[in-house]
Amino acid sequence: MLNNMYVSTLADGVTFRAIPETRFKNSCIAVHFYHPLSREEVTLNAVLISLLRHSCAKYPEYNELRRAASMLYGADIDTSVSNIGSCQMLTVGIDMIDDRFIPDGECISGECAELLSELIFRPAMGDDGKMFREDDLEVTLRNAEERIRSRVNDKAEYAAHRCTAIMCEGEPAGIEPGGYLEDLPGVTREALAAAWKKILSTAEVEIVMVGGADYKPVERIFTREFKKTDRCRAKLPEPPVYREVTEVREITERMDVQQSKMIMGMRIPIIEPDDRTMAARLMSLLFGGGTTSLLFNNVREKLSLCYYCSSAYSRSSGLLFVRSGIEESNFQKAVDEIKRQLAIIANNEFTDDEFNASKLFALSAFDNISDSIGSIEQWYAVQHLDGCVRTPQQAAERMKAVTRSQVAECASLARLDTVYLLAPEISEESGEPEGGGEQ
Amino acid sequence: MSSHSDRFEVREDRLTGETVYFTTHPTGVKIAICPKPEFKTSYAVFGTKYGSIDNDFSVDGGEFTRVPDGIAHYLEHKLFENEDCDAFERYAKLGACANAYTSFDKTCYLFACTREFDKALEILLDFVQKPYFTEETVRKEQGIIAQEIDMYRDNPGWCVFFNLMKAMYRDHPIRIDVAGTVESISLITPELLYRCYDTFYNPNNMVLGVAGNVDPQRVLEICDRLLLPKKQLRIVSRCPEDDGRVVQPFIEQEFDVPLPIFQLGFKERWRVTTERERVLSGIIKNAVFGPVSDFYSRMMRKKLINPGFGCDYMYLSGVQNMIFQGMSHSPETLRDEIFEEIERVRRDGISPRLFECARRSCFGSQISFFNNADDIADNLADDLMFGTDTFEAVKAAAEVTVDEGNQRFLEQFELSNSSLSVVRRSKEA
Repeated sequence: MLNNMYVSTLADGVTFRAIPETRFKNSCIAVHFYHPLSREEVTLNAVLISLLRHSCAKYPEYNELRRAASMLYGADIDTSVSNIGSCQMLTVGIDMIDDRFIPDGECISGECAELLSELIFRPAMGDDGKMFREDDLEVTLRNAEERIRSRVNDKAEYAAHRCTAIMCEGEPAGIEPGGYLEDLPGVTREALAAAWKKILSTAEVEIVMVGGADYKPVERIFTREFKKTDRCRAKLPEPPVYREVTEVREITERMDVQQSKMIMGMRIPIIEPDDRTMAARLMSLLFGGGTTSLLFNNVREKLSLCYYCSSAYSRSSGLLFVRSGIEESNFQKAVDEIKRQLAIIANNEFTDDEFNASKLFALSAFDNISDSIGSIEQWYAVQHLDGCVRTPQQAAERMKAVTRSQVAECASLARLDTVYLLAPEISEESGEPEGGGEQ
Repeated sequence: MSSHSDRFEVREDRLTGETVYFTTHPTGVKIAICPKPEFKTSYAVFGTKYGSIDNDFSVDGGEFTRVPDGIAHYLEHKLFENEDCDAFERYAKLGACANAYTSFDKTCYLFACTREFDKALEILLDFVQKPYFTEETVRKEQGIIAQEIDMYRDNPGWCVFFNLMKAMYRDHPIRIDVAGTVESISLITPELLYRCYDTFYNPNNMVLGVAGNVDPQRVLEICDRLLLPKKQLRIVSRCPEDDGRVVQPFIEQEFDVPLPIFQLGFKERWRVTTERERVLSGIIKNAVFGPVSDFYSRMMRKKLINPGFGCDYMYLSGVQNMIFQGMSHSPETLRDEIFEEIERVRRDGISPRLFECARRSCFGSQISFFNNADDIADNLADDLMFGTDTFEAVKAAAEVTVDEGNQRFLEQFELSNSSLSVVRRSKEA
């Protein structure tokens, strides 16, 4: 698929990457900004990215912007903010159906690219002629507050957030990409305008376009816009460093829940650009990545302890988290079994069938990337920070070469850091956790 | 085209550019295949029109049987285990990614793969046709499913939905969680599982949807080899009579949530609707209440909604309604605002400009459905099970007018036939 990939540099630190693909009904364009992650700016940036999709100078009213996008056959404007290692990625993108599927032969791809550039380069202005409007900010701040406060509604996610925040305090991985409640009052139009100007000027930028629409007009639009921008690219920070584990922390927090959510946070000293990240990814798949994994087949299928038990490894931070929902009385049994399964991998005692199944699973996942427009786009967005851009096929070749002993080595390097349990409240009468008495 | 067997009815769709091969296998299984040779991935779904609402049924005119709640879902979990080995293990050897799910009205078994499609399809057809339930294996699953049930009980959105169903439907099994309760699943036995299996997994009640890098002829050959002929059964699944009216206009539950969560449902008397009517329902709710509307901006300014606000149309056997959902400081005030807006639109009609915005958006998303093999196969399987027509929906989105929209609007939102479900913290907290 990637023989016809087109790459150009539009300005200092601004890459344009087009992957022409006519297999899909849609095209997408995403503009990614990479800059250093900081606890101080994370809330500001979360609000900023919501404001950018709220309105723009051309369509200062929220519903006018939505109407313009809807008339472009439901062009989908999406913004996001994510933390990758010691960097933050801000994204403003648009997804649209290809011109060839529009009934009257209308062409919308150029208009969609123009709309995207309006959102990025010409945000709505207040009556005082300065960037962003006060009432938009008010709505966005309230939405941000409600969003942050509602995190607790998804108990499994909430538990994962809590474990990460406790375990990684003071590290980039401990910073919450969605921002903090206590920092919202400090977010002002002035601070937002300064932050956005700084990002436009100093961030590394990667524009990724995938789909059947002609990329040349898109390249022209963004060349024109970045020419008008004062660029002074800042250097991105070094990857996070591995923090030795001195003792295992066990933390239980109680809340009104039926089911206990358990998170085991581990550290592995394998962080991009380490050569062993591919082996660590395979290790995590073998450990707890789906229905072929040891955790699924033992903690769930053999011991019937849970409905889900899975692991996920982040190559940008060297962290691995195991998540499961269990009965509190089974907590120790689950922890012991999870540790035992990790030891089986570390001791190279897993079967060839288990190893091969996990590898096939990983290879299929790389194959699948080329069949989804969103996955292709995301693949290149994240690769930008790896310093070396590979195709999914090249990554698959590296995965194929991973050996059993490399996987075992990764597991042997994993250190349990924090065991976090979100458990039901203790009822006053019995001293027993509520709802946990029957089994 | 000519190289393919004349056993297929071939449909070429102009708007999406897709070609689909349809056939009914001699065993009774309905099949739809959408080849996408330019993709690496292939996806297949083998489904039965059997979900949690089918809990009271009769076969070939016999007595009705009432089975424990959650049994369709339990059966789905247990079917993965055959006598000699587990289906997940067999898939794992191919690198195929397999899954299954049960909803109110169907159970689906599926896989996606990028190699060895033939072998993966063989596994799918084989294990779904080979039930193996014993006292021991059935007991083993109870711990896993009990944890699944507990997981949902921690989800306030799930609670607000089932409370709404209880407020809107007196007896319809839509009131019951797909997974049942810890008590109801304890009543499940191998005999009951076999009885449900032998009824609803009759080939006559099953469909196969395939999309991706596949050859329709090869798929049919595998089906010929693996689909087992059985006596075709006449299944009647009955739901208690419903008078078409909601049970109660308001329902509330205490739940420790930072902001009240609500769903507001407008019930319609159930009837079979056309694809065009259902597409219209989707368009008018977006034109009147979606982000393009004045209503949405006004509610945002009044701080009554946040970007989580939305509205969905629900349609399945015996159930037809429109549900607004989101978080709000005052769901009651928001309900009154929605009522007022409905009355205004009944009087003044839908803005033609906003109808056009919503129609174009709808067309765009209908086209986008055809981006991925899994969505295509799922939609085709649904069409075969429920008599819907995915391509007809695309065509409708290209054609419908605001006059039709206004007409549909009048049927859709009856203020006196609505219920509001809220979960919030206790008032004194």
